[in-house]
Parts: sequence; C-alpha cells; structure tokens
Amino acid sequence: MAKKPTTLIGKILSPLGSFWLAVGLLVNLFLLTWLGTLEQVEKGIHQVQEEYFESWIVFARAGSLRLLLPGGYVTMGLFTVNLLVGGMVRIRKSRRTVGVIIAHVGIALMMLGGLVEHATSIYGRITLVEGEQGASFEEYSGWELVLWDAAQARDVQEYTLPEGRLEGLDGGTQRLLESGDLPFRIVATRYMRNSLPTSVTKVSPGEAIDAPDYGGFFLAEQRRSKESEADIPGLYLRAETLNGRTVAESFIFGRDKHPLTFEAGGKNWAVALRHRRHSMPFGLRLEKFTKDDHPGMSMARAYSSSVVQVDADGTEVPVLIEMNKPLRSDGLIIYQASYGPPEGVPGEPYSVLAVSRNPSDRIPWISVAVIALGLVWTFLDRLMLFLSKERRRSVQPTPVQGDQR
Amino acid sequence: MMIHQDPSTLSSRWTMGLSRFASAMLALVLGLLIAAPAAAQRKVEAAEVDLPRTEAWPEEVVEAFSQIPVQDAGRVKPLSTVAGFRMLNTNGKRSFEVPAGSGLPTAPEKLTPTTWYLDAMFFPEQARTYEVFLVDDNAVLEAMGLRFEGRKRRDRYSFNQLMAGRGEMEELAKAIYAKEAAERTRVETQLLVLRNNLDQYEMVERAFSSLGARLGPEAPAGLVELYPEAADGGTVSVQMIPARWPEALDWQKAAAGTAEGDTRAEAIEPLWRSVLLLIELADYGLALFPADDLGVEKWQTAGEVLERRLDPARQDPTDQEVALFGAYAELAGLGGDMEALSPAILAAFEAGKAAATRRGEFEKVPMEVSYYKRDYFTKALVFFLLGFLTVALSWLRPGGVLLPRLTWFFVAGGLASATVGVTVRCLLLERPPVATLYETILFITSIAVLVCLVAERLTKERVALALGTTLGAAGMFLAMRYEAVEAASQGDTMGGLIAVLNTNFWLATHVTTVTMGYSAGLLAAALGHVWLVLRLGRGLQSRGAALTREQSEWFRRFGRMTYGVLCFGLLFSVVGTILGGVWANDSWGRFWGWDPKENGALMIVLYELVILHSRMGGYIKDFGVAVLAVIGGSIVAFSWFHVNQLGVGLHSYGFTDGVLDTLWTYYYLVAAFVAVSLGGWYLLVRPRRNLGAA
Repeated sequence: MAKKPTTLIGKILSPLGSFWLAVGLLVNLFLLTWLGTLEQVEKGIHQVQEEYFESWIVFARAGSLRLLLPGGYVTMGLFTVNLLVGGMVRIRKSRRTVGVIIAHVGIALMMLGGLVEHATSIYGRITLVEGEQGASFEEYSGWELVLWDAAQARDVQEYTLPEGRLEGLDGGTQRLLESGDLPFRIVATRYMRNSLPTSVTKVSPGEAIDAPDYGGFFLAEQRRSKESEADIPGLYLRAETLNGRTVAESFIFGRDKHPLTFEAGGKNWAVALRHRRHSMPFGLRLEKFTKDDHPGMSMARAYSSSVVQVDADGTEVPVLIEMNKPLRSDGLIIYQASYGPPEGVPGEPYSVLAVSRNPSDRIPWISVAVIALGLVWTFLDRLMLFLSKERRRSVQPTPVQGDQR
Repeated sequence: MMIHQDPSTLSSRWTMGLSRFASAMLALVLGLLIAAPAAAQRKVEAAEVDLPRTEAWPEEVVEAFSQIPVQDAGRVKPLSTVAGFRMLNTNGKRSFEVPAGSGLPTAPEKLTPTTWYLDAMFFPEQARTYEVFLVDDNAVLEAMGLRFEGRKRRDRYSFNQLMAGRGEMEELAKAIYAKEAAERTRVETQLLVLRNNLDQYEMVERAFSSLGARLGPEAPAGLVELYPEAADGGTVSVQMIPARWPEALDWQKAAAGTAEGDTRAEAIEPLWRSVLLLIELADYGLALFPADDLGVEKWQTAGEVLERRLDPARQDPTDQEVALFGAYAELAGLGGDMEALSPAILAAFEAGKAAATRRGEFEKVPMEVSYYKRDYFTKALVFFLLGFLTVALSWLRPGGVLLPRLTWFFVAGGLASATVGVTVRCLLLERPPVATLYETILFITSIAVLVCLVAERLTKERVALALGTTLGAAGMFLAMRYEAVEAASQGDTMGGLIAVLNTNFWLATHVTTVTMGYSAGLLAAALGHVWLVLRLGRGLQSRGAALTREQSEWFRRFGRMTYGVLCFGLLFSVVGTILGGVWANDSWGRFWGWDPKENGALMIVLYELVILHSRMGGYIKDFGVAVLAVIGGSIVAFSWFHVNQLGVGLHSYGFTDGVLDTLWTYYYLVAAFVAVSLGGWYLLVRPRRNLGAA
C-alpha cells in the first residue's frame, strides 16, 4: 500500500511505517493485554497496569514461562510513530484508502486523547454525609505529607509535599518540607509505600529490625497489595530547627487517627500522611442520597445524589448526580460512585462521588465518530468491490478447464 | 442472469465431495434419533397414591393458574414463569412425562411447569411420586445413604424416594456449609443444590395450602360459631384467625382445667399452628399481594400481610388485600377435589388479576405466558436443524432447486422465530435484549445467521447457508443450556439489572455493537473452519495436487468472504469497544481501566487488526486468514465468557459454574484443529502453494 521510498528520509522512515512493524506491535500489544489480564488474578489490576502498560519493558508471565516483551510505553510510542508514518503519511492516497486514512486519523486522535489524559488528568473522590458540604477531593491512591498549625481551626494554612517527592527515600537520602515562613523544616528520611506499625515485641528472636523504633513500635515494610488503594504508606521523619536542632523525631502512618504534633517556634504543629487533596472551584453539598432497589430485592437499580453546587460567588444550583449521568462543571466531572453504609440501611447515609479532571474527556466521542466513519467507508468500499466482481463473474461464461494435474 | 455450469466445474465436484460428509452426518443424526427413545426406556415404579388426580387439568384452569400474577426477582411475572424456572432448576428441563407404567389414572401424561405446580399444590401425594429431581451424580445419593438399582449415574428421582435420605442429607449439609465454597467438592455442591431443590419444592406445596386452616369435621360447635367458615370441613383464611382470636381464647379458657378444656385446646391448635407456619414462611413465600398504595412497589407474601395484621404498630391489611387473601385461601382446603378446585382457581386468578390491573402491572403477564408457551427459541432450533438436514440432502443431490429453497425457508424461519423471541423479550423488559450473557447468546446467534443469509445472497454458494443452519442450531442449543445455568444462579433470565447496566442508551449502543463484533468474530471462525476442512479435504482427495483455476478462484472468493466478515467484525468491535470506554467514562469516571472485560474487547480488536494488516502486508494469504480466524473464535470466547470467570474487575458479576470447563474444552479443540490444519497444509498444500490459493 505504501509508496516505495526514493529519498534518504523516505528510506529511514520506511521501516517505521511498515506493515511488519504494525503487525509486530499489534501482536505485542495483544500479548501484553492477554497475559496482563490473566496476571490480574494474582496481582490485581493496578500492579499489572504499572508492570505491563506503564513500563518500558516487561517480564510477562505465560504459564510457567517468562517472556521478555517491550512494555506499554515502548509499544505505544512506536505504534504512534507507525500509525503516523505508515497509516497517514506514507500510505498511498486514493479513493480506496480514504476510509483507512480517516480511521487512522481517528485512532491517532484517540491516542492523543489518551496521552493528554495520562499526562494531565487527576482522579479522586469526595465523600459527603447528608447535609455536609465539601470543596476538595482526594485521590484514590496518591498520598501527601501535610503540615499545619495545630491551633488553627478554620482557614488552615497547609504545607504539603506530594508522594512523588517521597518515593525512593530509603533512609540514605532525605527530602525537605520547608517554607520561608516556617521557623523549622521537616526532614523526611524513609518512605514505605505499604507499611504496618509493628511492636518490637512481636519480632522473633534473631530477626533484624531494619528501621528505628519509637515507643516500642517501628514501621515494617509490607509487600504491595493487589489493589493500590489497599496500600497504607508510612514515613520516618524529624522536625528540626533551621540551625539543625531536632525538635521531634518519629514515624507517621497513613492510617494514624491523630497527627504527630510537636512544638517549634512557640507554636504547636501537626504533621500527617493523607490521601492527596485537590481543591475544587465550587463546593458541593449533599442534600439527599437515594438508593432505589428493585422491588423485593436488595439489589440497587439506581442510586443518585441530590446535591447543591455552591459557586465561588455563593450561587447555589441544585443538581442530581445519577449513575451514568455525571455532573460536568468547570473542568471537573463528578460521578455517582458508591454509597454507604454498605448495606444501605437508614442511619447516616453517605454518598461517594468520583471526581476527575480530564481535559480530554470528550475526545473519545469525537474519535469514535471518526473511526466509525473511516471503517464504514472502507467496509462499504470493499463490499461494492466484491459485489462488482461477483456481478462480472455471473455475467461472464465460466471457461471450462480441465484439472491441471 | 444465471448461467449453467459444466458438471466438471468446481462447484459441482465440490458438492459431490461434500456428499460423503453429508451422508455420514445424516446417518449420525438418524442413528441418534433411533437410539434416543431406546435409551430412555427403563423400569417404571408403580405409584401408590390414595387420592390421585383422575382427569386432566381443564385447559381454562391451567390458563388461569398460569397467569396468576406474582412479584419475583424484582418484577411482576406470571406464576407459570416461576414454575418454569423451578422446574428447570429441579428437572433440568421444562417438562415431565408421567410414565404409562406409573399406574396413575391420567398416565401417560406430559406435564408442563404449570400443571406440575398444580399437582404439587393440590395433589401433593401424587406429585411426590414424580421423578423430577435431577441428580447429576449418584455419588450424592450414596452420600445420603441411598442406593437405587438399575439407575444411571445421572438420573431423576421422586421426592418420596429422596426423603428416605433426608436426615443424612441435613447432617452432611451442616458440615458442607462449614466449609468455604471454594473448598467444597463437586458432589458436596450438588448435594446442596439437591437440598435446595427439595426445600423449594416443599415451599411450592405450601404456597396456597398454608393460607388456610381447617378444623376438621369434629370441630366443637362453639369454635365453629366463632369461625363459621370452618363448618362442614370448610377452610378459615389464616388472615381471619387473629381477628377473632381473643374470643377464641376466651372460649378455650372458659373450660380450662376440665376435660372439655383439653378438647378445646386440641381443637384450637390448628388455628394457631397455621398462623405460626405462615409467619415462618413470610420471607420465602410467593409475593402474591400487591399494595393498595400505588407508591409502594414491593408485593408482599401472605406471611408479610399477616405480620401487618399482628403488629399493632403497622397498618392493617386493607379490605382489598383481605379479599385477595381470602380468594387465594379458598384454594387451601380444596386439595384433591378437582370439581371444587376449578372454579376456585378461576376466582383466585380473577382476584389476582384485578389487584394487579389496578396498579397497571398485569398487562405484560399474558404476553409472558405466551412467550414461554410459544417457545420461540426451541422452534428456531427445530427450523435450523431442518435447514441442516435439507442442506445436507442438497449436497447429496446437487443441482436441485427445491432443497436449497427449503433450506432458505428453514434458515429464514429459524431467524424469524429467534428474532420474534428476542423482540418479545425487549417488549417485556422494556430494554435492549443484550443485558445478560444468556441474552447475548440469542442476539449474537441471530446476527450471525442474518449475516450468513446476506453472505449467501451475495455469493450463492450454499456454504454461508449451511453455516447459518449450523451456527443457528449451535447457538440455540447453547442458549438453552445456558438458560438452565443462569436460572440456577439467578432464578430467572429476565431478572433485575445492577444500577450501572440500567441504561437503555448504553445497552442499545455499546452492548449491541460489541456483541455484533463478537458475532462476526465467531462467524469468521466458522468460515475459517469450513475453508480449512474443504481446502485440506480437497488436498487429501487430490493427494496434494495443485488446484485448477476454478478451484483456486472458488477458494479465493471464499477467503474474501471470511475477510469481509472480519472487516465487518472489526468495525463493530472497534466502535463497540470505544463506546464501552465512553460509557465507563460516564459511569465510573475513567475511559479505560484495564478491566478484564475491556481488555477482552480490546484483544478482539487487536487480533482482527493483526489479521487484516498481515493480509494487507502480504504476510498471509487465504490459508493464514482462515487459520487465524479459527483461533479468533477462541479469543471471542475468552472475551465473551472467560473474563467474567476471572473474579477480577467490574464485570465479574457474570460468573457461572461449569462455564470454564466448557471453555477449556473449546480451546483444546481449536488448538487441535489448528495443529491438524497446519500439518495438513505442510503435507498437502504447501508444496503446490505457488499454484493454489494457500
């Protein structure tokens, strides 16, 4: 289908846009998807996603074998190049290939949307009890270190350090949480993505403890869970004055009921690990959560949250957020995700709303239309070609030929 | 314009070659038809019943009884539907033949689910002799301490036969329930299923009999004065017992401490026992009683209605509810009396119908009764099998006109029957017909047959037509088997949907398009099978000789048909998969989450892209397309059913026991077929590939 290259650039680009590369990449992506799906049973979706699709290289498990395959980044990167070079630039432009080109444009658009989403989107949730109002959402699995003046009750000034800055801390290096208006700094020394506070008395004789203990407890590093949401991080840190005097030293755990507090510069300060928070440009107040069951069953056929959107200027707009019918406003998309208590009995019903900020939210709609147009065009074109051949065959007498043996 | 081909041309020789295959298939089918009745014969035990039913149930009674409205699994449906699924779960099929040797007055007689229910409720002694309890493995019976001579490993037994081992069964069940479900053996799981079927059957027996109490002919006059309905062996509606209970207690206490007091206590006992029984059954009985308040959707069981009467904090049943209760309670004491039963059943139906009609919930009940009675999918199966027969015969006698036309008629008839069935389901459920795995089988089969008919219209080779009969029959057979599986796990194939699926827009767009993609993938796999069988068969016949030009052309056109179906499949798979992502974006807040079901759909897309790009790049030709299309069938199966069995992600609600075994069998068969095809290609086709179309 592609033209033969005559120029040097063409000769270089030729393999990048070739069918064999396309087939190879498609086969690899197929293998990644298939083996990754099977491995989800053992490792869970999130870990497989990281290992197979958000990686450069992967040791995929195929039964008892281990296959070394290019990871999702390599495959998708080359795939994009192949698509652009082979499917849009070097492809022969004719009536026959119009549909194919359109379909390729649609796929490229969808991949672009995916790239934008991967690079810029944020996903999280906001949990509201009836009557409660919130103006921020927290990520599902992302964490942050947060510090604040423990005496403040309203309009709290927070200092944060995102999880990305803490990852890789193994005791040998350190990261600082500091600010010009703070009379001290927090020195983070060791971060564990999944951890468990453990009593030193629980350690078997002869077993080494590889982390310092405070008050008879230390943080034991745990294996990553199947679902990343189940991982609870822990952090060793110390607070020291600007001249290096330690005022507090301990560890904090993601599920601590109370923050670690200490005194510095004449004030009480609190420090904790929490799911990373993002503020929203408007507030949401849950008026009523409704779970509508199939009659006589405990299975919900619908659930919805009647909320009031409170804009920055105080304007209140009532909105109903239902399953499959999210609220889209100010670049955020808010969905009905879950509810509680789990059994749905009356009491203190709360609603969990998923929140996402995804600039490419509508790209799939456009790309599916473009791809469908291209594929329908191609399919109809091939069908017409087939039919015209059949018509020609039926009007021409078939020559009688003997067996060529 | 039609032209006459020389008999030496490929098509004619081709069909000659097929005739041997057709003869073998016909012999097999006829052999099975002859062998089946012979295999079914076995010794029948005579039933000893004091009060048997002496005549067939009158048609109008069966019709009325089948239409009694009841709320079950989240919707209002006819009683016959409940009976149908109970029978399917118990008996493995929706009919039962009372054998001639049973000694029962109406034998031999074919029972439908409705007449089985009627017998179980009103002639329980007789119905307990029906061998309707399917036991898949007689090891279950051995575990219960039962042994029956001359029975097969998988056989059916009566309630009476099984009751002998009930005590042992209960002990075993306690131990089995103490285990985790995953640790239970196959036999243990089957024992629990059988136990549940026996329990459910006992519930059926009590459905109406528990609504009334009888005092017997010797009832003291004082008590009959309080409950005049009980005079002459009449039945007191349990609903009425609490209303006069203080007076009844006073009457009993008036003679306390005397011999008469004991007699009175004994006489009053059936009344309070009936009340207690109904309360006990409150959570398990049939929900026959709609609320008068139109805002209350849930229907109540008799026990729940009675609980309202007994609980001073709750509203008493309304007059209409009491009247409906009374109409059903009338049936309680009429067991064994066909003459009295018939008008009582008609009256009960009218009362139930009126109550449901007031709420606008009856109008679909007759339609559903008709849907199951007409049995569209069994009819479609018969049509497809007849089509298979005529297409096989047409291969035996090539050149005829009648048989191909008959095949067209049968395939179109099968498709029409299946389409009507699917449409009626849509009307009943008010949603697109693709929300459950069972429904996808029906839909995918119908689409595959439709595409076959279109392909046949375009190619006129009779291959697509033959494939239509095969796929149609296989799909309908699979649907019937899967209906039993889904009924066992959910009790209905029209049950309520979880919230995320409760959207007609997405069911109509994403699910229909993606299942059409599945359909095309399976059809391409079937075409690939046929292409390979014919091509390798041809190679075997000619001992590897090259094809003639006509033969080559014929295979090329066949290959193009497979390729075209793959293109069709790719179109729907791509659009369906992306629409799925858009739906996920609107319901779960992300376009793609690497969920197994999403991955399955993506795998189909990627795989079809591999085939099409390999073909366009010239890396494979028709043989390669056929082999890859055959493998593609197993990828569709993986995406359609297997991913739901992994227990991971947001689509694991479709888990069903036994499906994995079937899937693995299919994968192995595909692997074996591909291996044989590759071997055949190497030995018979490859040496001449420069001359042929491989």
